[in-house]
Amino acid sequence: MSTSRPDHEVALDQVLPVLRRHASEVDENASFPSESLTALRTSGLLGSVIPSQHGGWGMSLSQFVETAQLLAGACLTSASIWAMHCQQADALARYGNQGFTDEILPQIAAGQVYLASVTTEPVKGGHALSAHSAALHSDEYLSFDRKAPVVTGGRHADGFLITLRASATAPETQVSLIYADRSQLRIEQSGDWRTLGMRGTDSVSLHLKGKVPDRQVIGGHGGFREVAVESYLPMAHIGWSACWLGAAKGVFAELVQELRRPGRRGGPQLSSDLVRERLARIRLDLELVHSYLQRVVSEVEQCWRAGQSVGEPVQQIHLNSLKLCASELCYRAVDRMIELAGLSLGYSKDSVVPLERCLRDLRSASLNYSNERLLTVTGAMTLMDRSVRLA
Amino acid sequence: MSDPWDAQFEDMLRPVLQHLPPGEPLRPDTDLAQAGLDSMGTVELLLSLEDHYSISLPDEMLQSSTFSTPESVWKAITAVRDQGAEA
Repeated sequence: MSTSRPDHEVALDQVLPVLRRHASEVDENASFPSESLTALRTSGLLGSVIPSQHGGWGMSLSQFVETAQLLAGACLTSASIWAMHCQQADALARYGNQGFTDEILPQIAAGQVYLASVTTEPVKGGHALSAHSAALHSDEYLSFDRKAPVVTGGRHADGFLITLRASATAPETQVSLIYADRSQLRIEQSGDWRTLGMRGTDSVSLHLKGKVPDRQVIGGHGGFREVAVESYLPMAHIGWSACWLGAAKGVFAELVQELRRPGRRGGPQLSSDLVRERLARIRLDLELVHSYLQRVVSEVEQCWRAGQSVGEPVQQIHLNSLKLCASELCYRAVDRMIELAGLSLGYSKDSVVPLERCLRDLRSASLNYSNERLLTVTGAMTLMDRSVRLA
Repeated sequence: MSDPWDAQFEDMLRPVLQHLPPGEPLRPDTDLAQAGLDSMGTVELLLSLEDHYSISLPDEMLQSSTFSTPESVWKAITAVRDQGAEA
């Protein structure tokens, strides 16, 4: 009797060694992980969340989260690029115009189209639900002139999902989401990406000008709020949290293996109560993020299956709390791993365990979709849930 | 025709509708999200309504459908007030 493994598991066998092999040089040279992206394209993983009728794998949210963790355990930069691509692909698949999705989704599933997201804007920072640059309408086309300070993979993407103010007279909170192919855009790079960590995401500043037909509007004119609340933001918070957890878990596994290596000399003594207490504290943080991630994923899956909104205050509090706790606890766990491992095994770039890189990468987690703003919103929403309905 | 709500209701609602021009009348079916009511504005509105009318909207009422139009918000307030009066 033959048992066939799911496509994505077979794909991961091919892709993970490539990501692992290039993770260090991607960070060292601050270079985009092109080899990893090629492996993701050819493996079929770019089509993970594309429905099967369009040639994708129609992955469930749980499978997406497991895959993100495994990829991040090999290379957090590549995993984040993949998770953000899947976030765009999910929005296109759910809210795209059918005539257009029939064309674009099979291309994404075939690995021909890697998607980048253009939601940041100089005047508004990372505030996702507003836009300043307007879509100018004429003859079933809309044109735009848009600056974006941070576009992950912006120089490498084949297609872009771009937020625009719905029209020249629309308020900044009335936002349209459009798809633009690279061939429909004039792109100027206006700034570099030179950062402490996540150095290979090549999240450059771009100035984009273009014109696209109305059929490339996703979720209708001015319809971004619904796309964001029901797809974009849940996918982002869940995807990033899974990536951060996967990275922290990955280095912890390597650290424990190194600590148990026969013949290891120097460093933490495994018989020490202090060492064991530190191990337990790290494990505790990872256990908490893992279980809360599973819980929120199952809540979102339940809402999606029942056709219910995930935009009610209680679901928003849970999704925000996931992003907040994953960004803080995964970073803290890796910081504690360095404390435990000491200067050479923990703090050094030349360590056999890449804790130093992981700490720098995870430092971005609280800044990426700023925790400060998310806490303010979550605090306000908490006042709307007097009975404290916990996840 | 007089408004279905009292004057103070409109005084509390207008400041959280960033996109409703001052001269434009507030209709019972005005789409509050389109008029600029966001999640933070909803919280501000809730707090001022509860304080002014001395009521507590139960959690099950605190969903987007309650805050979709002036009429739906006013209905929620009057329902809770009437319940309080009966009790």
